[in-house]
Parts: sequence; structure tokens; C-alpha cells
Amino acid sequence: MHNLWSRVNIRLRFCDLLTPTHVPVVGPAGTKDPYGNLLAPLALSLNVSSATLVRRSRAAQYKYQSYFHAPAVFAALQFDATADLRSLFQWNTKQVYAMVTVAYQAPGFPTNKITVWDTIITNIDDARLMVANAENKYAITDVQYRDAARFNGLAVTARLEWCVHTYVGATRCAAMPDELAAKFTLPANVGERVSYRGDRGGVGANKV
Amino acid sequence: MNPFAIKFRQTLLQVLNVLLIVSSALMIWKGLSVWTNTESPIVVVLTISMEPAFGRGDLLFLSKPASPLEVGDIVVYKLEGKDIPIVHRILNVHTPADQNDDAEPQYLLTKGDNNASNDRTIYGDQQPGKLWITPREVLGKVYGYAPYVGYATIVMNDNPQLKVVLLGALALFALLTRE
Repeated sequence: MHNLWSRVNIRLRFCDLLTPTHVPVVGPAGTKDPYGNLLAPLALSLNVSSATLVRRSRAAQYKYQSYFHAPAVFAALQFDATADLRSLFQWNTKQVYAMVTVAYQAPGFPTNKITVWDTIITNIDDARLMVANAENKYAITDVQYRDAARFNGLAVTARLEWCVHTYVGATRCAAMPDELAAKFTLPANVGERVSYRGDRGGVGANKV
Repeated sequence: MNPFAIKFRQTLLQVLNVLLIVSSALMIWKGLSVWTNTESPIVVVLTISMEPAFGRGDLLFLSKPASPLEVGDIVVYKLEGKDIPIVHRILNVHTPADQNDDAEPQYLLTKGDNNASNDRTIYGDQQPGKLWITPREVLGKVYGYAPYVGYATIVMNDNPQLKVVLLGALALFALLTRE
């Protein structure tokens, strides 16, 4: 016991004797992970009410922050989304990041996924997500952005997803189940708008 | 034994002890790198571009997974020509079909939560026209974090004299400890 190192050594050996070998290493609260069911959010819904294929223009580039390239076509969506994310706010939750993503397949690219809208919820009081007639915040354009016909008639799936960020520890993410995801088809030509709500005037695309 | 020889052996023992500690630390660090499959398994956040999720001084635990990166993952990437890696969230992922050895497996677009627009300003800084990053530039995906623990690193980076003082103090402590 003459120096720091031998004192530390003896402490560590003591701890070794006390380590239980037949008891699971969990606290008195049990083994239940508070985030065990990340799909617990209630009232999940995502309805895309309309989709427009917008031709390239300076205004569109600025609106969707495409400052470094000029995509030939942008897809503009309007959607409603609800989600009751209050069950995700446990003691360890710092924030919940909710996003709407659009996934599609295109020639040469089997999977594509774009985040079109996101929000950060830091408080359980703001955790009941309810947006109506929201537009996509971010550009919906493809890797092959010079191809103006890229999005014509493309089948896409929009999904609401969320990630829980904790004060300490791991980040966990989940997505809404497939049956609730919004599956729809983009308009057949650039410049057209398709409405997915029950049309009062009739069915089909409305030309912009 | 003559006293000079005894003193010499004691000093040598001290030096070897210090080397043992230093090499153990290095082994643990490199072992962690191998286990997490990334060259920097633990990083410190320097900017506020990911608030409120990560703030300055937070410690992030990284790992480079074998499975493809997904939208919503928070990754740390390092661009050629820039020495500081950036930790931001993946917004877009595009997977090309042709998967030769030299083809990129994914095209990624990232954005900091607290930033107004995506990272193409940063990509284009050294490589004008660069619109996407690839998994090759990604150091790792963030799996978990510890708040504020890394603030000491930021303080030491901003005041390099502090590093010298700390090392000096450690050396003094190591050499003056008596067996």
C-alpha cells in the first residue's frame, strides 16, 4: 500500500470478488427497455392530397434550395400527416425527429429515398403531430436530374418515420407500418397536377 | 550492488511503467477502432449545426456498419481537402444498380438539423459541382452519445498551451511517484 497504483489494484480486485455471476446485469426497474416498442405512436396517418411535376425555373430552384444544380423537374407534394408521438417521450428522451420520406424505384437506381419534410419535437406538449396541407420542404429531384421525364408516372411511397434521440445512449428509429404508408403515382407529364382527394369536378389530372 | 546501479534500475522501472500505460492506452484505442470498423470510434462535436440533438462538447460513438446507410442516420463524414469531419443527418439515399468494385454503392445527401439548407455548400467548397457524398467519405454512423464529456477536448484545442501544461503535469507525476 505504498503507492497509488497498488491501491487502485487492490480496489479493482475487490470489485472483481463482488461482481455477481449468476444475476442478470440489470437494475431494479427490470429488463424492459422504455423504448421497447418504437411503433407505439398512435393516430398515425399520412395522406398525400396532391402531386405536381414542376418544370425547372429559377423560382423552383430557390424554393427547394437547389443552388448548385438545375434539375429539369421538381415534384411538389401536398400532404396531411398526424401522429401522436407522446409515448416516445420517456425520461431519457431529448428530442424526437419526425420526417416524411418518399421512396421510389427508377431505371438504373433500384432504391431511392428522399426526405421531403422534417420536424424536431423537444417537448411532450408538442408531440401530437398534426399538419394539414403541408408542402415538401426539400427538393424532390432525382440523381439523374437532367432527365425531365424521370418522374413521369412514377409510383412512389410516402412514409412517416421518426427517430428518438436520448440524453445519453443510443438513437432509435422506426417507420410507420406499410399498410399506412401513402402509395401513389406521380403525374404522367411535367407541368401536370394530380389530386388524390375526391375530386369535386371529376377524376383525373388537372393541368396547371 | 553499487548505489548508482540501483538508482538506474529504479528510474528504468519508472520509465517502463509509463511506457506500459501509454501503450495500453494505444492498444485500447486501436482495438476499439478495429471493433467498430472506423478509424475514429469516438469523436467530439464542435459546432451547433446538429442542435438540439448534439451540442458542442458532446461525445459521439461511431461505428461503420456493414449494412447500407439509411435516410435518417446521423453520420460523420470527412471530405478531401477538409481536415475537420462533419456530423450531419442523411436526407437522401440513392442506390445505383451497377455494383462493380469501383462503383459507388450509394449516393448520399446530408444536412445538419440546425442548418437551413443541405450540405452541398460544404461539398462544393473544395470540389465544385459535387452534389453527393458516398460511403467512402463516411467515417462512421453515430450509434450513441454522451453529453458534454468532450468539452475538455474543445478547451484544449482552443488553448494549445493547456495541452503542454497537462502533459507536463502528467510527466512530473509519473516521474516523482515513488515505488
